[in-house]
Amino acid sequence: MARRIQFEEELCTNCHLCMMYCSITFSKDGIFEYRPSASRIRVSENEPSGLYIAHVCLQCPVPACMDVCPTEAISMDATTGVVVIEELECTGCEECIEACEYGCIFMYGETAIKCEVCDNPLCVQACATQALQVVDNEEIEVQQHLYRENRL
Amino acid sequence: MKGWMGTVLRVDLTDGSIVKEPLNMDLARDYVGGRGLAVRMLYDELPMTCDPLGPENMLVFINGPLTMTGALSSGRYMIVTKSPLTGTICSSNSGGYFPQAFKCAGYDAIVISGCSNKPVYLWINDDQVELRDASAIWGTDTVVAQRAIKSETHKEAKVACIGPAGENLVRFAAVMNDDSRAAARSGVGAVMGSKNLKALAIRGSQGVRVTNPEAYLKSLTISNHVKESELGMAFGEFGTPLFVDVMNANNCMPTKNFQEGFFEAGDEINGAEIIDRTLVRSKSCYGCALNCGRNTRLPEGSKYEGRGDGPEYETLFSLGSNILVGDLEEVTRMNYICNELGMDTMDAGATLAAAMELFETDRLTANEIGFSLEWGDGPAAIRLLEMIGRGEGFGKIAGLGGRHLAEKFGAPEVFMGSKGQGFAGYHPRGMVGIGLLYATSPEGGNHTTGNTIQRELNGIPEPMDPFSGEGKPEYVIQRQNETAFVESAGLCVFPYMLLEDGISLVAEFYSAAVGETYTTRDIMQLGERVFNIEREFNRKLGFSRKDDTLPKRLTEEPHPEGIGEGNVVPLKEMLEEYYRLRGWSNEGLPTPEKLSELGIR
Amino acid sequence: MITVSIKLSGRLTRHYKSVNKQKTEWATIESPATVSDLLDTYGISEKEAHIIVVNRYKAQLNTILHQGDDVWVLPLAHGG
Repeated sequence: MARRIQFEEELCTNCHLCMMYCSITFSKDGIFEYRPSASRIRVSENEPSGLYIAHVCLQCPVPACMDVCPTEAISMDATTGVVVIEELECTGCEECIEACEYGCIFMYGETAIKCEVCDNPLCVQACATQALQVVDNEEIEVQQHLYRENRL
Repeated sequence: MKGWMGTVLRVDLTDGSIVKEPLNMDLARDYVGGRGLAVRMLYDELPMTCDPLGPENMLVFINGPLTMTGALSSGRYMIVTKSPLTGTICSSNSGGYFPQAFKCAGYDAIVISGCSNKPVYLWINDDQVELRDASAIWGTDTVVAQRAIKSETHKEAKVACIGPAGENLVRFAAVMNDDSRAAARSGVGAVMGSKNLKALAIRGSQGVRVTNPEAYLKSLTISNHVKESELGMAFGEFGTPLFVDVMNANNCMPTKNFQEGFFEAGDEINGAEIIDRTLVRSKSCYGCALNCGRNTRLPEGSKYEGRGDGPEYETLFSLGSNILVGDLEEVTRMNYICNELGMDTMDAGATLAAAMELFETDRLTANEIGFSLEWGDGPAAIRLLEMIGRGEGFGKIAGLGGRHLAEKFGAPEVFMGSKGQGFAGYHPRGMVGIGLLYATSPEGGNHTTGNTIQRELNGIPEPMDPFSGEGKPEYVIQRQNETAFVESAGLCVFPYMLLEDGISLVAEFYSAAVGETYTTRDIMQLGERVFNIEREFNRKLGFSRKDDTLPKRLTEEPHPEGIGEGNVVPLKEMLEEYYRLRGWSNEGLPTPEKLSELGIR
Repeated sequence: MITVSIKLSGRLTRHYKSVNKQKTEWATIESPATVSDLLDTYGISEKEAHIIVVNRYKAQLNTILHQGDDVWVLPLAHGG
């Protein structure tokens, strides 16, 4: 089973610190910037429930995104089970975004991005309410349900 | 230097021109950003004698170099303009999510001038900027307007807008963003209304660069430290409403238009009541771990309906204790009305309190208002607030502000404010330093320009006798300079007030962002420069010592029974020492020597 | 023995003894007693009791309590 980031909606206060710090992790070329649009986790406010939802990839055991990718840019790491997008191979066709019923893949510029579970994720460290945790991928059904109900 | 985005957007509503220009980095270095930089820009550009509600006035939306960085609670922006409420320069600040979109769209400031001949809103999608027709949404409340503009533009757009109060030029109209966040004070919403500008909608996808990442990773630890401190936990659990108890216990909760400092029904409108009865969930601004915000609704079975945010402490005072309304449902309803119609709950309350005192003393009659307005009459207060926001009947007169109302009905002394702006919820007879703050704030009765609670009431880092003027001028100056920097940098004042060494942390964050070393002393001097340019601005508008006043209720009428009994505010003594320590003349004006020492030209 | 009313604010409300959430409660304590003695019976540490008010006037931990006193204890807090 893959590691993944687990989100607890009752604890989220919509502060977006996870997005700020995720984007730093992926700052490139020595340029250090807070760029929420580059974040691989996205927080949104659900209307009318008022719930705040952080969308972060569930690392599905049978990923629909991988299936639809025309360039085979998406693969599953054989040892960790984490689903990864090879940026250079991505053409930005957005088919994976369509296919992900949990709303956990995003466009950033010309490529699709998603959570690939960092070793020591800054999003988890930044979360002020411990709404994010690294877990082994058991019991994803509850989270699947939450994301389906609150698709971005 | 990093931290700033490097671009200023200028929009002239008269001819519809939209121009991007590089940020003047010399000015940014000297005046930081936010409040400081905007005041300096207006000092150079604004025709001083302009009518605040005329086309010549300018409106600056501005963030700071630390906005949207990892510095604690960095999701703030300011609106700076010449205030229609006070006639002074003013800065009104707000949090939420709009400031993030604003900065990430790539701009440090948006300078708005002129007046459109029809209602418009400004749509900024990163570098694409356009003015759009707002005729269809003119007249809508702030919740409806935000929703409509989002659906016309982009689901990720963040909107700051005015409601009917701003359109009707209510002198204390607010600019609302992200549902219920408010740049509330000084009537900035009326300036927008006078320009026929309904809203700004912004979507931003750029990044904010800082020089030294390690310093910010450290901030995660500090952020957790603040959050888990006693103060931080209390803040997260109760938000600002916890202060109802604190102020009431200290006999400092302004009650019945500041006649008293203790509200008998305080327990009915305190933080615990809100948790029990109206709280949906706590919420944060962008990038803030404190989550002091309160998302609330009036539960089923209430007298009224509605949902939104708050009320915050200031509203529980201004539309609660200060007008003797001790019913949480009524105060919450009034809070929602102010948010929806887009007006400042604090000056709305100051105006209502003055009106109730005028009514009690028969200077103002039911005939003139249209109904009677007794102390504590929530339904009547609700009715009057709606009339103010919608510009109906007597609401038109009340909408000109509490000072105007009190003067018109022959009792200027019943308006509890300074320079025309109502006071915040800290009774100066029970903590006299705040009286000096109110009297010397550039925009009148404002508590955010350097709150003195931490020493006067909390005794942190060292206690100070709240009833004596001794040492207060020095402390108020320190707090004013600190806060001037914090608000110029684009930060929220809250976490830095909670930390004993808050200002050195600010210096560290600032250095790490811009890539040059700034000491605490440097930061304090930048803050002092900002405070002095504001004073110099007001001097040009004719303000001086004669305007640094408090109503005689605070300086002559003794505090009633309880803590601080018999006390009054020793304003005159404090003021003289304050001017001396500021390096200002006895008339309260910055001397040429002081200005040159601070490098203000 | 004397009976006093005690009111707790903010996070200190967790220390109320009565099961029903109340805004104040009555406490009976052996006389002579100080505020400190009263707080001991509630398990409130001296550090937590940032502001102590008795009968609407500032009091200290060593303030002597009398029959019918109203005691109000508040934690450290900051508002805005």
